[in-house]
Amino acid sequence: MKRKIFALFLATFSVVFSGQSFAQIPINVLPTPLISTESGELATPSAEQQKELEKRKEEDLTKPEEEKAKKEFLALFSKRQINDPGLTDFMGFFVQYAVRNGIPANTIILILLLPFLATMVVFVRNILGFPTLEMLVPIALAITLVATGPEAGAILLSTILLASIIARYILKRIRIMQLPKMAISMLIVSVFVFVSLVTSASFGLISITQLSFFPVLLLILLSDKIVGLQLSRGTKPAIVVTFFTLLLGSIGYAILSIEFIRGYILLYPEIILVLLPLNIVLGRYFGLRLTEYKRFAELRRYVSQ
Amino acid sequence: MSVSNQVLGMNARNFLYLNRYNKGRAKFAADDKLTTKKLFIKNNIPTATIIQAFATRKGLKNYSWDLPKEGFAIKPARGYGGEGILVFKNWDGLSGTTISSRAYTLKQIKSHILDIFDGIYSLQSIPDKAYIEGRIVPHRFFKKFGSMGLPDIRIIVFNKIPIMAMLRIPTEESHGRANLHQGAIGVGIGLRTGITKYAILRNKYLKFIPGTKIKTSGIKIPNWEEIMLLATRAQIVSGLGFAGVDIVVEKKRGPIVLEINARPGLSIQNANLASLRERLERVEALNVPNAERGVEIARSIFAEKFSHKVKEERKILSVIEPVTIFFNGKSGEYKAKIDTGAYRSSIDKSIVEEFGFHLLPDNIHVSSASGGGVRPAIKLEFNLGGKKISTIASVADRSHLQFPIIIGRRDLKGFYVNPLLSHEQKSSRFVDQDDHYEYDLPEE
Repeated sequence: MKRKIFALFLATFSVVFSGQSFAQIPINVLPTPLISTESGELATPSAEQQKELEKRKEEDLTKPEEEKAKKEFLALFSKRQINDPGLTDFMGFFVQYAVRNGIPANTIILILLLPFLATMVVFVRNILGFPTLEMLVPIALAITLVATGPEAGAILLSTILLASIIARYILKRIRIMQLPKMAISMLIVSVFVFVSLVTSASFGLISITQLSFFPVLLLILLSDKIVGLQLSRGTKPAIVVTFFTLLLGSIGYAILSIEFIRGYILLYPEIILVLLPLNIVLGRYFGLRLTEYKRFAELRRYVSQ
Repeated sequence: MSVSNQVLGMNARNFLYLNRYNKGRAKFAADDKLTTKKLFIKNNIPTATIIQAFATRKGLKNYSWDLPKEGFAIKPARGYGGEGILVFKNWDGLSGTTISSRAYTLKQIKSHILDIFDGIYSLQSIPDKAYIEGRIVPHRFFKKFGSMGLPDIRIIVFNKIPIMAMLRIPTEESHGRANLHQGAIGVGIGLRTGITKYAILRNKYLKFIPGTKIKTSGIKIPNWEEIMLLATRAQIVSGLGFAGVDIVVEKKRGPIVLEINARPGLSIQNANLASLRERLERVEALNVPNAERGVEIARSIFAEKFSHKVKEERKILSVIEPVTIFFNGKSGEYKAKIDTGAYRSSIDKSIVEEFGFHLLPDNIHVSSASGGGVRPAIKLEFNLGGKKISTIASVADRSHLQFPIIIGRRDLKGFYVNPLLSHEQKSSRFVDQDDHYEYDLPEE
């Protein structure tokens, strides 16, 4: 065993040190426009890309909005002018006050819409009976998708999932302790993410190159949970759970980015109070879930006789 | 109190029963099989024997690995869904083979146990303990259902009352595991009679057990009352209010508790075509003093519709009973005395000579009022009260006594003896008013 580990080390180091000779070969081999074009274009993106970048920045709803968007929000407030806040409209007043005093409207919108997403998860799990990965994961996924944009999010998520599965598959056979295993798994995921970033850049997918790191971290945590699920409960349940988690994440993403909903919640934030009685009603529903009607169909015929 | 005839769903199970009756500490203890096992052993509840528990690397290093040759199982204490369990069918001190015919060396086993320590197989990925358990050899009754894994009996016990039961038969699809959602077969068991009625596999109803010619209905589980009592005692000891108790019947020791589950599944309702919710609501407010009473209640109020057609297995014997002896195709009827003061049955040597019984090579020790001694013995098969009994009986000269045969305690399992009753009275169905509570005769 010891000899095997030593050999492994030796092999790794020899690859690393002989890397100098490798390093000279590949750069020109890669058929990517970014690298193979003249060096002048390497550092600064073209005007077209610049424009796209600007657009992407405006689209990122997790970041504070730009001046233009801010003006739009302020114009929106004229639809509901609150000068003298009372019991029914003090929430609206505070939202408007906050935005006027420099708190990003995007942040407020996300905060206010969060309980809606949570209630949606409650409904899907307790009333419809479909499984999701905990409660926070679909919500976190929705917000991550808002931050990355749908294409980049999909690319990243599939890359990270694939990497996690491959990592688990490889590491299953290697007999080392758990924590170092997780570190190696993280290394494999990192390499994959890096490769996907480089590849996306080479194909000119600009949205992915502008990623901040936190969505990536969130996606890594998420895929770790999915793979853990596959390990403890088997592949089939893991696929089902992943499917519904992704579905809910996407629906959540849609809710968070629909212009009408965003404007409405900013104008009438009191609406979130509706969730209070709604959740109490959902929380006292002890009947069968929709999926259980199917599961116990035969039995129900028999019992009700 | 109105009782809903609704099926028990997840929402109702979680909020109305698990949250209320399974408190944090008991639930945490139930998830740790090693703790549960120690609790059972302390309370005299039979369970699989713990050969060795490992909590530290030092303990693992210093262990002798002197394990039974016929096999054992290595398990994580907080395992989930059968992950991390290795079952060995043989062991030579340095290596062994698992039931799936994989060879393991001592080094590999140690490495596996280190993995368990790291919490790879524990539900919450927290550091875990490992233990070695004696291998369970099931009673032959359970062997006929298939070769995969270990069939067990799941009984849901609530408030000291057995609520519903099923026989779980592992399949190839379930990889030898007895969990229904993994593809095992669930066969519903009537609580009064211990007789099966319906069976499901992946929510489809079955007429026959796949791969066999056994009908899924009409299987009578042996030692049924004992099994229910054991499950109820296990629930009481565990501190869980609502528990799924898994029991296997072992070849040598009879029913033992395999494990106890704090979140039992709901498919048992499909296997019994009955609602858990209705039954739970019916017994929720009852004040049950002990396990015996709980089993009694369950047998009365959850009796299956066909139960009145099933004869009770427990027979009442008078002091003198006719027995029929069988040997080599011959048979003969004799009067026997039921003697609860004797351990073994004894038979007069004239009968032995008459039938031509072969004496066993080893004599047996007997002790009696006239002092102990060694007597020859024979293998004896006889019919008593409608039950066929195979036993070993001592041979003595009983010519000076009134009855040529006495039946000892060893052969009286499952019978009641009523000394006030003579055989003639019983056959004329005369029942003394004062003892009528002792009779549990069938209604038909």
